[in-house]
Amino acid sequence: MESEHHLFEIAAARLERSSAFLDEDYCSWSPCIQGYHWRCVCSADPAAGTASFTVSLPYSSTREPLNASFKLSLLDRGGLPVPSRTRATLFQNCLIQQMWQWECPGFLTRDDLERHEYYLDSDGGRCFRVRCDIAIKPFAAATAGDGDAFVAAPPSDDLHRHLGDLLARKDGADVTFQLVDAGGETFSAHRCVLAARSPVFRAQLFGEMMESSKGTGVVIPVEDMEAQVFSALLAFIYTDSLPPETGSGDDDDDDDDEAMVQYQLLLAAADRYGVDRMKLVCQEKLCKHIRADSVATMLVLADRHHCPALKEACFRFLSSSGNLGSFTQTTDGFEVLNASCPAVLKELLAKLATVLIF
Amino acid sequence: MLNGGGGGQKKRNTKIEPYRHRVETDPKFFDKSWRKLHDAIREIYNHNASGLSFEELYRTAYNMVLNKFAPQLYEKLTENMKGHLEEMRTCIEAAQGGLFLEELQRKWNDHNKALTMIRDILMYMDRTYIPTNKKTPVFEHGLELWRDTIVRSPMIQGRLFDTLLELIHRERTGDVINRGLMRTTTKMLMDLGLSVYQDDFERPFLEVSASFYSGESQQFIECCTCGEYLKQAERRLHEESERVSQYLDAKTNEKITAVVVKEMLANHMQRLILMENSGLVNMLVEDRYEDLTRMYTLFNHVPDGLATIRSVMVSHIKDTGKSLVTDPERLKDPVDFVQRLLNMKDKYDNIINVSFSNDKSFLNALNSSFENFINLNNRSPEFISLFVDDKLRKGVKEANEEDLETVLDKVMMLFRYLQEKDLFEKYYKQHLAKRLLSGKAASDDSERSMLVKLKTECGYQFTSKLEGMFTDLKTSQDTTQGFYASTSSELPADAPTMSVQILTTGSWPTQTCNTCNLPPEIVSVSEKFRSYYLGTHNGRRLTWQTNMGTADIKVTFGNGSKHELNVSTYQMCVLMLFNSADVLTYREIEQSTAIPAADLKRCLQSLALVKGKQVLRKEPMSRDIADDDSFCVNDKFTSKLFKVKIGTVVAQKETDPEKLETRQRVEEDRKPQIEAAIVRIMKSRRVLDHNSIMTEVTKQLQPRFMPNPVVIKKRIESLIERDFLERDKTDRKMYRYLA
Repeated sequence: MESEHHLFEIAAARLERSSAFLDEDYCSWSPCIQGYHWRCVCSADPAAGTASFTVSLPYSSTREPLNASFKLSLLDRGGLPVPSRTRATLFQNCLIQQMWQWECPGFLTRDDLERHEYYLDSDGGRCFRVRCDIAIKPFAAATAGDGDAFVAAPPSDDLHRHLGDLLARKDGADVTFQLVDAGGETFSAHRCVLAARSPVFRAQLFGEMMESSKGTGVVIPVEDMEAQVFSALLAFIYTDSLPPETGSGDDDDDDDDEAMVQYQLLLAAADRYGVDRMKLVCQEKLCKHIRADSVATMLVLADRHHCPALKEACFRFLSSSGNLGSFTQTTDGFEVLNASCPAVLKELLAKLATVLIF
Repeated sequence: MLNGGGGGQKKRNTKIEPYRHRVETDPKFFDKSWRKLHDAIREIYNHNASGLSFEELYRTAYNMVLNKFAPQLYEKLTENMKGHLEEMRTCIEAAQGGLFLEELQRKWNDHNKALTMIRDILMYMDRTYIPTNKKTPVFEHGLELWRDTIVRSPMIQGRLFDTLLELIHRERTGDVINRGLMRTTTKMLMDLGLSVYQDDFERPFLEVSASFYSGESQQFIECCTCGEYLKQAERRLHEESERVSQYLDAKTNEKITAVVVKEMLANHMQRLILMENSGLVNMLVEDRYEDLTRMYTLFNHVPDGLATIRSVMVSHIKDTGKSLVTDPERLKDPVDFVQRLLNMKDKYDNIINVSFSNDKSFLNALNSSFENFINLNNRSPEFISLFVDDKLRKGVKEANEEDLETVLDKVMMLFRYLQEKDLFEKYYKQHLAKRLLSGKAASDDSERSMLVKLKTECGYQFTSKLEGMFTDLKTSQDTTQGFYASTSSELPADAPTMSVQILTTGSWPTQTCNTCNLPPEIVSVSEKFRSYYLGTHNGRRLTWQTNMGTADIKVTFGNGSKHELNVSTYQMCVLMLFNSADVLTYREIEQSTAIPAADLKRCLQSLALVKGKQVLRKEPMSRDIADDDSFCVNDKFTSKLFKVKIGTVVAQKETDPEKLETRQRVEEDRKPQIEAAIVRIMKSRRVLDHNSIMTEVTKQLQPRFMPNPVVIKKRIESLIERDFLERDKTDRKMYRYLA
């Protein structure tokens, strides 16, 4: 929507019977809005003691149908529109096949001279102020609400928070998971949401085995899972985001290590339950924290859980002679790789050989 | 107060354990894990899945893959499923008779359900190990095992497809079979892969079908009429389409249709179409629209099917048409001759419209057939003109104006087929002239409407002279009125009233100029008219055509009866003689009237020998007229009618000499047209060889008539003699135009 406005100042003297200005006088405003040429004229008639407004839109056969609103407001001494002295018109889907015109006779009258709250004293004498607004909306959109604005719903950004709240409040939860390794801590959730987001959960909860029974008292034991990790997994399923990293403390290095360990566990959980985007988010985090003392662990993780991007990032890290030196001299990375995934070590050595040759 | 040292660092109470890469060191890890999965799969196949824990089984498989045991797991899975399928195969093979398909279907359902669950618990392997190592996903792998272990096993494969084909055969022979079971079985084949359905089932199905329909067609064609046979073929086509929609793959429809079409229609096409007593010709003769529609629809599927039908139809139309136009009996009645042609055209138009979908190729074939046979009789142009003459004489008395218009439109269709349109023009001109001059044209509007049709068809040149005839009559009417307006005071009160028709030479058919001796009463008026006419039209020449007029005569017979006779001009001349003589011999009449002998004899025959119209009596009472015969007024003449019509001049079919004369005249008229065409061509080409001239001339004149090459050659020679053309000095076959 596009709109413009204009302020007319009308000398109070033009409304006085004894005015020396016997001729009718007028002033006009001619805005051009989105290719439409408007014309708004204010004419004062001292003999009649009135001031009238006319707004018109000349003929234009090439234009598309038009939605527009037009408003006249008398301003009070403080510059605010007076609701009772506001006139407006609205027209929708008008075809500009002939000149359109709207008249507002007698907007101001001689009686207004008695209303001191409506005029302003200035060097040139008392004068009234009238604000004129024109707002235009192209044909495609439908007009809704009052003539001043076209209502538009804001883009949705609450869905994740709503679902997160649903998970937290456990309203209507119909399945419970009990973590065997975490002292039996339980998590409640909704079958449909889990099934929609994870193929493993869909097979488990809507298949034909024990967990798919319809009772609301179903408790599913989960092994090899930490409570914090499972909680984050469920949160991601509902909100599509991971919880914020643990707050910074006095020991930055220790906190960083803890965060990375958490992301590794989260990545493994995402891989296990087939939540692919969560897996990618974790990879992204881990790629930014590859160091000499952690690269071996990263490579093992990447190999086990099929993360080619993470593996490539580790290889690139080790392509630097400085990094490679630190890796070999200060860590037991080689032993770790050789023991856990010798194939990756072989692949790494082949790449390093290529780099050294070049 | 004691000052303390710096605040100590406060450590957090909890700390996440480092990520541990758990590596299984238990040498029995794989065996224990597989045992768990193996037992679960057995429970799945035994319909006991509801007691299993997905969480446990999925995690077990997950850990096996993480610990690099995926290849072994995949291999074990294959062996295990194969074992279960072999057990299923034993059960299926043991099924008796009709239970075979049901047992197969039951086991197939079991396998699918088991496969779904197995795929779910092995989902992690499907997502990771299998794509990386290009293995077949678990579910597809299970289908392949079913295909190879069961469907294609030696004991089941043959039995399965034999059973399917046997059931189809029974349905074809009228039995009701379990279509639902058929549908699920064929769907199984398609689920196993389109190639399984197509190679294992569809191909033998089509082969067996071909054999079936080959046998059936042999049987039917021996005992059925063509119509019955085609109805059976149509029914079979519908049945096969329905079978496809019920329980076969949609793509099979096109293939089985092709089989039925080939075996029942294409292989017997000639025999069916030409079948004696019931084939296409009989259908056409008997107007069997339903059978014809079916034949057209069915043979539309056959290569050359419609072409064959069209060819046979054309042959039949040509034969029928030829026998019609060459039958001596038909030639006796031209109106009936043309009416039969119109009826025949209507008949085939109807057949093509109703049964052959208004197929343009059939319409074209019909048109070329008519053009072919209608020109076999070189009298067709004359007969068509006589037909039009008959309709335009009767006009709205016989049919309303709209119907007449329809008939004339149809006649124009026949006219289009004529190759000698100029011959038609010649005859039409003669017949039109007689209608106009005898006052027999029923409707001026109809006459002009016909003229418009001819002009539309052949152009202005074709009808310009015909239009001139109408103009002449209009002008004559005005001239006669002018004559009487200016000379009425000079004529005696009892002078006969005369109406004159002034005919422009060239617009009307050429007539021999025969002048007879008119009665004195007529001569006086006609001479006055001549003076008037020549006085108002300088340079004109007026010649009386006494052989073409008519007269109304009031007669009082000896017995007192009074009548008004409508006679020809010649007959009037004869009758008027008896006002001053009681008896006259033929020789005397001939000398007095100077009417040509042939005309006079015909005239006297009409007056004396036609029963009911004998206003004269002849001695002796013989059919022939001799010079010594004598004539007198028949004083005993009676008639119920006051007005008696005698010897109306009507259009007659030409006698052979007349026909020959007309044709010679047409040939003469063609010569200047051929010459004009040659001159036009040479004028634009300047130099042209002999063959090209022949081709161009033929092309130009073809709309009117087919030029005779010999005549064209002669006209070229004539033009050379008259210095319009010359031969090229070096090439005698090349001609040059001389300006």
